[in-house]
Amino acid sequence: MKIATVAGSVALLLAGIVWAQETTGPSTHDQSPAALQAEIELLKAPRVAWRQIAWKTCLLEALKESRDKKKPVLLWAFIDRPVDDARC
Amino acid sequence: MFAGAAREAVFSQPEVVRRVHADFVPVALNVGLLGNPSDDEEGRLYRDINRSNPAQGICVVNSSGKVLAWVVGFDDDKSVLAFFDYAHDRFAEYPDAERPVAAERYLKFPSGRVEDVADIADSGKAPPVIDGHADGENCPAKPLFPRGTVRARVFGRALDEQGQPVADTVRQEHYVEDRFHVSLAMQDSLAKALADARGKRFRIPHNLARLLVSHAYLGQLDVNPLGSPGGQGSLKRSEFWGQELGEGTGASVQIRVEGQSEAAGRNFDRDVGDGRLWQHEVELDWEGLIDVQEGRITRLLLLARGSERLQWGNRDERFSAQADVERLLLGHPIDLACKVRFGLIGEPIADDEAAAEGSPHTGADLDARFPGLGPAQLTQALGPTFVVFHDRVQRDLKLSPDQESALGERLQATIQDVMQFFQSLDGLEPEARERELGSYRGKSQAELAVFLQGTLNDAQLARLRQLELQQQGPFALLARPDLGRELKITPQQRERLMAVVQEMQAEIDALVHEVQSGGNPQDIGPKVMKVRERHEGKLHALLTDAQKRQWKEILGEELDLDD
Repeated sequence: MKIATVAGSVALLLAGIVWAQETTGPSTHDQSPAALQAEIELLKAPRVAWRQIAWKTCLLEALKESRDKKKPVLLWAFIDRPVDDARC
Repeated sequence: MFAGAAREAVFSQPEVVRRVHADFVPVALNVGLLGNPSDDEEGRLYRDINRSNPAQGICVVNSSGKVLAWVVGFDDDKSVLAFFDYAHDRFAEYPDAERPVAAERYLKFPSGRVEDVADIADSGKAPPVIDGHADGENCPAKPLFPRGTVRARVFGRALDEQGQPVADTVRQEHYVEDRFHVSLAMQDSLAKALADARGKRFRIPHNLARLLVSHAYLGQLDVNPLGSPGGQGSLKRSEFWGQELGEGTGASVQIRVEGQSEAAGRNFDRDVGDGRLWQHEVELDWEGLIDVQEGRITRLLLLARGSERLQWGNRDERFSAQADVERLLLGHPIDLACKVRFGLIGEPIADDEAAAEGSPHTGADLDARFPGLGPAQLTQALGPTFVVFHDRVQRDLKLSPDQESALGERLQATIQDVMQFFQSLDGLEPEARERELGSYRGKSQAELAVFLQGTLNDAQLARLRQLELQQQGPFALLARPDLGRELKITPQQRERLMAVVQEMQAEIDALVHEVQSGGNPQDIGPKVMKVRERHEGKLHALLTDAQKRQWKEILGEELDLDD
């Protein structure tokens, strides 16, 4: 976890530099893996409203929790893709 | 459309989020899983929920898995919370399966109630109470992938006039997250292209380039510029080049990637049933790095910059005036023209997502298009010989452990190959898809037949032939000339049999056309099966009594493969 946090911080620092240079045409900036990763990470929104709900994907697990906590299960059934980080 | 609209209009509201946390246990399931349940106690739970499923929606179930209420839309924002109150009251009354409870259903809550679906006695059995999956047993909702499959995540942003990301991150036309998987076969093709280039600049394989482009766009799934169920799309330009740079991380080789892409999609000219109108154009410049080690991608980092034009609307004039929560099945209007930026970052899947060696897996990039892809779906899509992968068939054939293992590996490879093939169909016109599918079906059948000749013994092959014929039914009399000769089918009979098949084909073509035009396969699939069953009866009726007896003998002991 510590390593991930440090790497994330470095990535954000690099991203700040990269973002300032950004254009929408072909790239002219540093294309090192760290710089690329930093720029990609910067595109990710840190807090997204719909991600605040931790949808379970296992019905059995949900029903067990329903029995334990005496709460109903809210089931979202959809044709598209799973809910966590996918387009839908 | 529904899932995207529900996520944006319902599950992004702060008070909704708070109530879900406080009062419910949230679980999200693909309807494919509900509609294709396994033949066990867990499958029984799915099957019961699916009985009242209005195709897709939000429902509340009690602790025994009994549906209390379904909802597909709401009168207004306040009605969402009112539905939660209402569902909670029903849960207080029916917390478990002690008393039967009807599933109430609302196309719109509270004003649009439709017919309830009564509870079932469940054949006198109490609903199963299962605390979870046994150790080592995989949840069917969690797909496993072949080890080495790469998962790529996509982050896309619309940019404002100053070139900064638009602040809104709820609507997918402003901010999108997505993911896809790069299969082993696709990685093999990249590794081959790299090796063949011998250090020179080389073209990135088309299937990989297309996969990248097909995920770099803003908006919901339905506006995929390379084709969505309710529209058509084309890849106008896709030029991706690779250049080996030398060593990457560890012992890997690093490839510098550059490319340009142009994709454009739009609605069909005819209405596909829900009145949707859309068009979408995406132009991107790409750059990035891919690390490859021993033929496998170990890291993928790509950036794409460019512009996008997207419009989404509806023929129904009331569409624009409705609240977002009212039109969850139709989405909201979009009129977007802006600069965009995408980032793709990929690495091999984690160990706990990889299928054990030799065990079946649900494969890379199953998406929602192939929920529960297994022997039954393979048999339907590719032909009766694929019934050999069915558990009950394998038990009937009394396979040896070595044969079981060989067929398990073969199934794994087949699923991978099928998904790869279907992925390659993205963006093709319906006629071209059918043509490609026909050719693929023939090739797959021939290859499997050769494999089985070398794997099964003569008695098993003879029994498998019977089971294949049971799957085909009397249609086999026309498809297999040897059978026609064996049963002494007369030219007149053959002509009448052909007429029945042509009549059936016309009815099925119309249903297939509905699916191609955006119809719901969940609804249309059963209709196709009914048409087939009806015509199967007609064919059988054309046989003489002697032929019917002989046909029954040829089929051998019946094996029921229905769930």
